[in-house]
Amino acid sequence: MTLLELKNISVHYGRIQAIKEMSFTVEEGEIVSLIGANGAGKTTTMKTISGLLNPTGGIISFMGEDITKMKAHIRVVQGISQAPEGRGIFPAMTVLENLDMGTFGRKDRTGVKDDLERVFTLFPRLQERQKQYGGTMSGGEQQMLAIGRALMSRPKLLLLDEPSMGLAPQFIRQIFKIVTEINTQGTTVLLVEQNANQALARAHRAFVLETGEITHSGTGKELLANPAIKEAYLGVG
Amino acid sequence: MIPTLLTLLPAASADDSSWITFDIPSLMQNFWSATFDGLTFGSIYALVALGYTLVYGVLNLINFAHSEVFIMGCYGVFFTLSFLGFGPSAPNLSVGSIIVNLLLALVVAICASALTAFLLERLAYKPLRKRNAPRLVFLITAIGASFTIQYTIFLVRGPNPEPALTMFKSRPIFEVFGTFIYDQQLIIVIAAVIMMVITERFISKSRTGRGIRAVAQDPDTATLMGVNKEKIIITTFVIGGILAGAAALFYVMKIPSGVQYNGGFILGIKAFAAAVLGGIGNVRGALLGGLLLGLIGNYGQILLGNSQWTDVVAFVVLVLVLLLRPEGILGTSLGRSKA
Repeated sequence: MTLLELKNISVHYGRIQAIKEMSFTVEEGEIVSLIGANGAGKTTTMKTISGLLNPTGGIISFMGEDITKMKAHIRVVQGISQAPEGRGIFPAMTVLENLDMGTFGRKDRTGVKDDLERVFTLFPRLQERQKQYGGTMSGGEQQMLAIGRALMSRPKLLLLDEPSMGLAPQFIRQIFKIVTEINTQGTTVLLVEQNANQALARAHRAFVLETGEITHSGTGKELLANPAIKEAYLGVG
Repeated sequence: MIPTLLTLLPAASADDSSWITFDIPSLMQNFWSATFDGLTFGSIYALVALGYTLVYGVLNLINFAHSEVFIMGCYGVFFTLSFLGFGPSAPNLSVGSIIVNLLLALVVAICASALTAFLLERLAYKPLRKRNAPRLVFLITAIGASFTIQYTIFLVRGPNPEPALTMFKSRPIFEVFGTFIYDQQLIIVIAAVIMMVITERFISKSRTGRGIRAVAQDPDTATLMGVNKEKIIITTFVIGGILAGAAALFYVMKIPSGVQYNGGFILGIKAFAAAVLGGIGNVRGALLGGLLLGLIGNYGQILLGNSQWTDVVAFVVLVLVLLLRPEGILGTSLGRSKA
């Protein structure tokens, strides 16, 4: 089943067009990666899907329903959850309060405890640091918190915007391993990354984004093997 | 011109070489009465300061029209009292009917202030947000809204203060450190503290409170968590209005003759200063800043021997504190995202 579909989406910042008639789909159960350089439009795409930005053209549908005009805070309740670029940790809230914010839009309070258990199993570090303020945590810990918090809304689609940004290599491997684990537990993942190597290796399908347009698409393995992509994004060739 | 100028200076006796004198014996003698009265004014400042601080938290905006939110509450009190038939001297009423009258005036004041805050946000600020206006435009709009409300009142009620209406004669009820505490002081401080504690609890514990803190720290991420930012903003304005309405009742109790079209201005500035002193955006900071400003002003006034000095001393202390701690005493902990 198609979970998310973007059809001819355009986004403008003032007169500058950041996304040009972009179309792609995310099927239920997949990990889909969007890779691209700085300024290619990756974060803009994510913000348009989560509703922080309004497209100037095109249609976004989620589970077959047109959500193009739906407000961002409603989309969370519908099942789209995002760990934003830069992690967006609330600095003056504790780890537990940050996680609790992830349940803000939820009506079923009963499942919250189970989901907290699940997040603590995925990220034992967060359980150890429950009482610590978000602003005082390391980058890697904040990223875990951002992903854990996004999971607290029990999303159907998890949007991850550059989870590896600014992290030490051992954290990057750990984060990507956990992304795969979250996916096998049944959450569809749309991942945006500059770290193309890991993002392609973990993805079922992937797209390459260049100045607001999709230039390549295929399975993660196909793109990893593509010489042009190797040269441009994988630092080999 | 010279005689006029001279009269502006505090009266210095002939044998004084300097025009500022420190009357330390008088401060010692009146220390406790200055303290109790300072705390009374301070809790009024603190209630208004909360309105500045909460709105600054969620919108990063100094809502200069908050002083008019406050003065509308004062008019609410005034009209309630004149409707109930109060005059310049206090009538002889039973405790029960005094309480009923106070509560009635409180409800009307809160409604008037909260409604003003609500309309202010809906008519002045929300349209600007929809157009993604730069921050400077919000600030100028705030000042414009402040003048608009002031001169609308001027148009309707004229330039003069409304007649003073007294609810009840303030009586001393007990003695602490050789100084009487008046029932009025006690009512104001206790009621204000209760309201502040409720507000603090609400912000830190309730679901809406969590939403307010989330929007204050990172509005975009708050939205991604399912927080309806617009609803949080209007709620914050209304909470600020409710607190300003309560402050209005206490203020009119204390200074019955202060209801005037521009009567909110000075108090608004002081409450804003209190918010900055404690750390703007910080709820506890507003409480601390309000109380400190009330105390400092009162001590300074007695020390320097002239009530004209109240505001000068308060603001000098504000400047000194900010020189050493630009974030205010408690800092902006409810605060902004550092990212």
